[in-house]
Amino acid sequence: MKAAMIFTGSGPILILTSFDSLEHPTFTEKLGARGISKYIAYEVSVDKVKNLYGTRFSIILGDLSQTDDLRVMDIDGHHVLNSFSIEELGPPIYYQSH
Amino acid sequence: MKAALIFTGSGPILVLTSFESLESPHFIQRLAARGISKFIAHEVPVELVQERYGKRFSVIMGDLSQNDDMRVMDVDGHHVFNSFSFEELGRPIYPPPPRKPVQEAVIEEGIESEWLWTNVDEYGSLVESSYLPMVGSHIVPAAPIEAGVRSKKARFKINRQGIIFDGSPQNLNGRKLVLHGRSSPALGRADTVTPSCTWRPADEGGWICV
Repeated sequence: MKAAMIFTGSGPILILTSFDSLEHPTFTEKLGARGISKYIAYEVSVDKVKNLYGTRFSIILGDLSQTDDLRVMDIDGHHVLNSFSIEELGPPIYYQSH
Repeated sequence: MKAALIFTGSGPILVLTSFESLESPHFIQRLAARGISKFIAHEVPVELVQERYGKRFSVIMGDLSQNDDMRVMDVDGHHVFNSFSFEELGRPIYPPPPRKPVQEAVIEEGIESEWLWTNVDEYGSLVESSYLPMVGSHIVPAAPIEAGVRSKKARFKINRQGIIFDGSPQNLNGRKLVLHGRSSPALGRADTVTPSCTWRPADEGGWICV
């Protein structure tokens, strides 16, 4: 499982996913279905997300299929951005659908 | 002149700036004055901005002074994000981690500060001061000054908690002077006249008492 901060045209969102890559074609397709066809993704620690969100994390996790799934954890951009320090972000992953 | 996409908590904005670096403390201060204290910046070529924004670019450029200034070009996050390809973005630039909260102004018991003479800019920052470590300090909440005026002379005293009184202009009274710098002993003592140490610029900005 991975957690990631996804920067879009309307601010960052936080997602949980069981895809093994933030560039997996089905992962990008699922984001596309939510209107996100271009993004910059930064992986963040799942443990940190768990500590930050507590019960909300458990509920979302309960919805997450073991494979090939994606759940939106937080859409409050300011909260998402301020919940993680820059040092906690993985390297940026750039994606734009063709 | 630089142009940059600034990713904030509410989406990217496009800014133009005459600061030489997007990591400049003054640039970061300008963003902070607009409520942006955390961001990821990507420089984009000014020529591309000019090409894509046309007349809007010229209008904004007309507002931009030759020295140390910043203008917001576009706040429509989706438009900004879709106006540039990733190949056109420079490397991500992250703001420096927040410094420890600045020390509050402390004056020895029973002593008022000497008169402090300063110039305050439109963002409430002290750009000139009778006491060097105060340069870069700021007044909260920011004291608005007339449109088109870049800085205004001010004179005031501060109490033990850094609260301004006997101020001129009077609208400074009751505001708080937050001192810029890190030091031991505390900044803002009554030693504004006879500093107890030598103040030198610190590498990361502000001043340090050595």
